[in-house]
Amino acid sequence: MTEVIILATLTAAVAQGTPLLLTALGEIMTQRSGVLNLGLEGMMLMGAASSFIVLVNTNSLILAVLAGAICSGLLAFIHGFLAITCRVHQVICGLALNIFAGGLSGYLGKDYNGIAAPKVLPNFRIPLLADIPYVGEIFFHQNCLVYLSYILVIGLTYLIFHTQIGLKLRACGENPAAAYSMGIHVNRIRYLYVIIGGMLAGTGGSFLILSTVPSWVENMTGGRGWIALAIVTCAMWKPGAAMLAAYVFGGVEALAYQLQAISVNVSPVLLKMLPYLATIIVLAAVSIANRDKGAAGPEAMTTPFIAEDN
Amino acid sequence: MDEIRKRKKGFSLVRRMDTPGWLRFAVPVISIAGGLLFSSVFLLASGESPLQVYRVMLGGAFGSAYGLAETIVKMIPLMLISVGVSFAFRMQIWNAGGEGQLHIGAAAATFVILNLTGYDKKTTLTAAFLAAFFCAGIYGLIPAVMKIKWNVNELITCLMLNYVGTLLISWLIQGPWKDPTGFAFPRTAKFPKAGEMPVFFGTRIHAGAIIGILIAVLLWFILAKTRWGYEIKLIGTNSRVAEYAGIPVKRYILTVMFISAGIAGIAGMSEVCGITHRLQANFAAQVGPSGMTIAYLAQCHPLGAVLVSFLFGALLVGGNSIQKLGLPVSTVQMIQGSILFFVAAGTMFMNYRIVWKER
Amino acid sequence: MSGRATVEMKGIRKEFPATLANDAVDFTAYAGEIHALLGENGAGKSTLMNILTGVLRPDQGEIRIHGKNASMKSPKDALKLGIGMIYQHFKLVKPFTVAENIVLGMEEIKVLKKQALEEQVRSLSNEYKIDINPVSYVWQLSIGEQQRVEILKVLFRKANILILDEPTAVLTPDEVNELFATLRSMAAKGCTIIFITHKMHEVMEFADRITVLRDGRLVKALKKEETSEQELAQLMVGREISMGRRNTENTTREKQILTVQDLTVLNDKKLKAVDGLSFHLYAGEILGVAGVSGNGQKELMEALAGLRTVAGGQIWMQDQEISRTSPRERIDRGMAFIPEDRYGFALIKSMTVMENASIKCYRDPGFCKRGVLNYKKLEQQSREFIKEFDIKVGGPRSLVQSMSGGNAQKLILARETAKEPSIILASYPVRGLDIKATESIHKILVKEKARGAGVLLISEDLDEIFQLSDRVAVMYEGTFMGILPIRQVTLEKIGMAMAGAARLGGEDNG
Repeated sequence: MTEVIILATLTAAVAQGTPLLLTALGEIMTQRSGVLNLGLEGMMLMGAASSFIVLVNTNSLILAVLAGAICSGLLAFIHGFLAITCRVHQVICGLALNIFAGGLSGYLGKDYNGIAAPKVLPNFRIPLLADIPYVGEIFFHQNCLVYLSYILVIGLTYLIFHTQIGLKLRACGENPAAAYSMGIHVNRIRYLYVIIGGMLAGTGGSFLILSTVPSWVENMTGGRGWIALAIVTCAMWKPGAAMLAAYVFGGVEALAYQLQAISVNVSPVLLKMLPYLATIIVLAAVSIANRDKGAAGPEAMTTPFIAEDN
Repeated sequence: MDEIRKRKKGFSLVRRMDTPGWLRFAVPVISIAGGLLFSSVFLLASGESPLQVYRVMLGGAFGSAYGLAETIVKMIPLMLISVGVSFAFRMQIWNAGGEGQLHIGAAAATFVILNLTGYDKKTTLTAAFLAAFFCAGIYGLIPAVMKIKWNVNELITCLMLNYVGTLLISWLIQGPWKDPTGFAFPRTAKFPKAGEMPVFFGTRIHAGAIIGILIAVLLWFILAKTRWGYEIKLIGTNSRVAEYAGIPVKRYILTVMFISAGIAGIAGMSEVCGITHRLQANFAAQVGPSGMTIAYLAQCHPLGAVLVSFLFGALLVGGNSIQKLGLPVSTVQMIQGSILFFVAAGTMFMNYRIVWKER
Repeated sequence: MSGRATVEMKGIRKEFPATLANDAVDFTAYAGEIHALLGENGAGKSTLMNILTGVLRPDQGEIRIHGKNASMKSPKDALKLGIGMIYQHFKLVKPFTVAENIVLGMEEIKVLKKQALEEQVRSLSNEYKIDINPVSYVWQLSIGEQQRVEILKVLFRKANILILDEPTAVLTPDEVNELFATLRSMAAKGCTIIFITHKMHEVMEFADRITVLRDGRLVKALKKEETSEQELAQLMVGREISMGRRNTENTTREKQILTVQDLTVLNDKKLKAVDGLSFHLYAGEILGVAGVSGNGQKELMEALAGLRTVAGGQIWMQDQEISRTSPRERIDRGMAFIPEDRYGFALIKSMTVMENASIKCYRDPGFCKRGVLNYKKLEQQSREFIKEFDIKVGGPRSLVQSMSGGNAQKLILARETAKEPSIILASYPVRGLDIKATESIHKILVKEKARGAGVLLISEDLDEIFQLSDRVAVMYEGTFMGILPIRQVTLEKIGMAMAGAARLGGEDNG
């Protein structure tokens, strides 16, 4: 009995953690390029809304996922334009993006409130790997976006730390003046990763509505975008660590459900608080642990790069 | 090497040494128009007539004495939150936790009023005011302390605490504080008369309006005329210079965050004592993000925040009236967001000149 | 030596909105030579070299590289022609390794095969006898080593025309010798080396040929053998300048005004930056602290000003211990601080002259009653600063960002000396200023000393140390290598002490 519950919780932890992971991976790239995009919550919402609208109208899961990525990519482009070209304070345009995207998703989703998704992303077993006891069930009996996230974690780790592309990306976030002096188009690169970050956040939103909560309600992300943002910091901008952190937060969320399911005598409202409290606690713990390592995070994050000044 | 320019021919931004006065006026006006135009695109795309929508909103907010009064009613919490938030924003402390602090303030006021029976209005409301201010202030200290002690980003903690605060209230009104005679409704018992704020002109406009304006004037005076205002400006512009000037920066962060959060708590108190007369669900949806937007649009000027709050109050009332066109309230949020985009982009025109030249 | 001309620039003109940076400048450099480009700050040296490296485009004039007409649109184009620039402020990414910094931006290297890469870097550094470990992270390196990375960066890209912008500003005398030995061996391999400087003795020691610029115009191009230090100085400034001592006031040296006992301070990485340092500062003297920056000077000054926690030891102002008091209390006791980072610490660019001038005095009863500030009086005071210190600025309400560096520094000095402080902590007070501004800043410091203030002067410019100090200390790895009266100090002694090779000798700090 307990074993079944633990297994179910862990499987759910991966499933619940994946939208957080996808979004956090995008933000890791955005921040490493030197731009802070606080609009994750809004971009996830728009990703979810546009995915859902496309799914209901076309009944195609592929188109739905694409729509989510593209819409949030466009939103991220707006953020990029304001932050990179107009040099607006990045906290401000991130908050603006959240407000706008939250409103727009609610507005566009007005006719879809409460409708259930016609279909969800199917889980399928990866041959051989899924047969590993416990691990197989937890990691290799999931949907394709979960598998995409595995590929992304491995791919991004390689890309960021072992290739020229990653070198350029990191240089733009750490010392854009140095990157510029080596002929790198800093702002072009920043635009690129801001948009990619947006697309991944959109995919995170799609995942949410195509798997986790398959029905559109306004503000259905419920703070997951902010949790993803916290994951980026907790993971020290590393994809692998982000994976771990995302599963921890996914696990807390899953645990809240599980506790409710086995009717523990705690108000469900209080259980809903768990992920948010966990975020605060983990964030504090990571900050305390890294207190002596000096400044963390890309040095030039939130600083606009002005070629004329260098 | 600041004399270096880019090489290609094209637009380039040149920093202004001074912003001409007409621009300070023209940029916000044009930006708001741009924001409305941008929203129109989405309204048009889903088959609504933007003109119709804006007309209905305008009519709803200003078309009648009732509408105008409601605009002021909606303006009260926005004004309090945005005045509080702009106080923190001045120091580059991103107090995004207004919504949570508002809920805590409302809960504290409710607790006092429901338990402190048998006193007159003045005593009861003063006690509720103080309780709301202090409890919300202490709630606001959590992110501030975490920032100072462990360098945790206050923005994320504030937002998480918004969810925690809101959920805490839902728990209270569904559980321990639930009105036993209230059937299934998740809400507390109604306040005694002593816990109701006075209202004016036979409308729903309550004393919160006066409290808000007084607080705004007080903060304006502090910021503009006193040494504390000067110190806050130094900290907000460059905290290293402030430390060099001998200002105890950390103590300021705590104090300002406490006051900022406390004012948000007053917003909560004034809502429960002025409007709902009990603690119930969803009494202040969307107030938090709007408060931050207003603070930014008002350039963190307390009196400016009062003015912009009035406009946003109108936007909310107008938002309610477009529901009869079948549009959700989130439409207003979308319009707010796009106005904010344009105003943010507009700051570029105030800080830079755009020049077409060979670089 | 007189190889073929590799760089020929003719009639270069470049105009910026407010200034004519280059006007009809000719410049020629040859293969196999070390060429000094000499001039004051603002003479147009950097502009000329930025044109050569493709960062800027000239308004007029032509450029020939290796005999062929060239028009560079970007540093990349210049690099393709073999022109590499080594900036004064290194363009290095601190969290990257040496090897990663070297290959950053090289499109032909797609994947970082770490070992092969390190091998390549190692063989290149062996070829030019540049001592560096390709696996180290840049943040672990000393300034001298970082400069070597910059040199390797351009060599790796096969550059044969190297431009160095003030390469010696941050080096010890030993490192300077080492650098020029490397540069000499490169020149011997046929490279063209151009270095920008304003130090005459370097030119005389290391250059083959010299081009002097003044006010954006070419003054003269000449061979080293044909000239002297004195002539160069005159060409550079356009008038006779006194290189002599500026501090001619008598030193009293009676009252100990600042005492530092076994002071230990940590840097941002929590490593010991100041390590068991002890010394006295007397009223009415200038104590000059020479040394390569990065040896704990910044941490020392911040700890004295109360901006950095003291990890061990004590600081006394006269007979009061102040080791753990707040910056505000130290300011009130009469401590003034001129920090090295003018705009990061002492001034706010986006605020007005008045607001900046009030930073240290707004709490005084004369300006502030029951918390309400008297802005009229503050404005009046800043107007007096402007007049008294001859600060060139629109007025009290102008923004600081509209001021030149020299005037900004004068504003800081005006503010810091207004309350007649007993201690003045001055870090690199004339860094980046032209000769005229330097003179007036030095005058102010000497005047303050004559009034009876104790001045602790940190500088990496030995000329400044000799011109101003009553006593000289050398800071090396967080401690003083001894303190000597100025009469007993020689350049050689200082040089040895700066490199940590020998103690300066003398009193204190055993």
